[in-house]
Amino acid sequence: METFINNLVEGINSQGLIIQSNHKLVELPNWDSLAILTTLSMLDMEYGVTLSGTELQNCGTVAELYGIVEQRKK
Amino acid sequence: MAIARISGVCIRGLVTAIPRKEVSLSNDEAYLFDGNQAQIERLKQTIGLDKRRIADEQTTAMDLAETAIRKLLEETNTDPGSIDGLFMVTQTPDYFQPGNAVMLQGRIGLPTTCACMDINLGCSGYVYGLWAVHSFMASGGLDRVILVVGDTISKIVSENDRALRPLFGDAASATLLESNLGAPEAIFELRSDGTGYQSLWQPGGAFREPVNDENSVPENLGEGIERSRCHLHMDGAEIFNFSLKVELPAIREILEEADWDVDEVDGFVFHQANRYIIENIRKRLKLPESSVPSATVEKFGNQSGASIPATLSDHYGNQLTEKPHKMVLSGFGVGLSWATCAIELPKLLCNSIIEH
Repeated sequence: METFINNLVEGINSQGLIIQSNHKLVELPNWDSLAILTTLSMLDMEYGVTLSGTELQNCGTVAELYGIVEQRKK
Repeated sequence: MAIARISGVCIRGLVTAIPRKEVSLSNDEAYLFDGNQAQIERLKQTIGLDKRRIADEQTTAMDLAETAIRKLLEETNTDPGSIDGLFMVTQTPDYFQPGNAVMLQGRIGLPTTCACMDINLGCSGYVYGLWAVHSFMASGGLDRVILVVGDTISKIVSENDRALRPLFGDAASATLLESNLGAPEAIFELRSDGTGYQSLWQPGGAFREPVNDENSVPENLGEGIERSRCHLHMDGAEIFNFSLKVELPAIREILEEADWDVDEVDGFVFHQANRYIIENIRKRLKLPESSVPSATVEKFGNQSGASIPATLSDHYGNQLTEKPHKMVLSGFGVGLSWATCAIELPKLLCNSIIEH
């Protein structure tokens, strides 16, 4: 989970940001279409998981996203 | 499976015409982000957006095409009377009918013995166009042909669309091809997935949704995006996923078909969607940075089908007139449609960019 959060922070280019697993994705700073793109890229590159933009936006919290990635990763 | 191997045709020269008018994200388009320079800097750094060349109100893709073709004929010292065919790939023609190619034949004064036809494709259009022209020429009767690829996508993007406005530029690029019995085989892989058509499209204004008082009014879609049905629509995340999904196998397959190693390819020229997509493809394929140009978008914008030849003209410049090059070209986008080729360019007679 910790590595996942680090990857997420790096993915949205917000180094230094402290994120908890119960944080809502939409409330992260700069969570916009660019952040969605960089997060999709990170999930594909690091975990081999392809999510659609809608699937990602439907994830409420960081933990929910982590759950989906764990379930699908190769 | 659409894989074509065609020999006996070679590319002789290339000219790309870009509009003189330049706009920059930091100055001219800061209004899209309420002047938030930090946000603009993020887009510049991550996606590689910066400057764009866009056509003024009076200039169309056909005008840019005419400029490119005239310069191509001049620089290759080609008699217009010797041209057997003119084909134009565009999705932004002057009129619904007739097509651009036949009108260009008249404007430039090519002989009436010329075969002319438009091809309706976008980002995959240069490779599709090269395949079509190679096929037409290989079937006989055409010895000297011009392929022109050009669009003015900036004209169909909403001025108040934060996601798309900073992305698209305009250009037209003309390529001269000739029959040459000694020309090596070019290999083309052509692909389509029409189920994804709504990921990148312009729904209103044609015949399914003729333009009317309602569909031409921009609607506020939130996040700084206002679009009417007659504007260009794109789902960035879907297009990003699509690009990665199709481009990785496409490049691997074409290298296998051509029996080329990555190291012997002089350039992998992808459709210049944006630097971020190209870099994502490049890293996953482990291609060397030096053989994958990705800076066209920050100079000119995403030029749709013209982006591959514009990159050949701009990034490689005189290198292509000095020695032959082994190239892999790959376009992907609207359709959804994608096409890849492995092609050996002989020493070209000309390869330049001009302003219109």
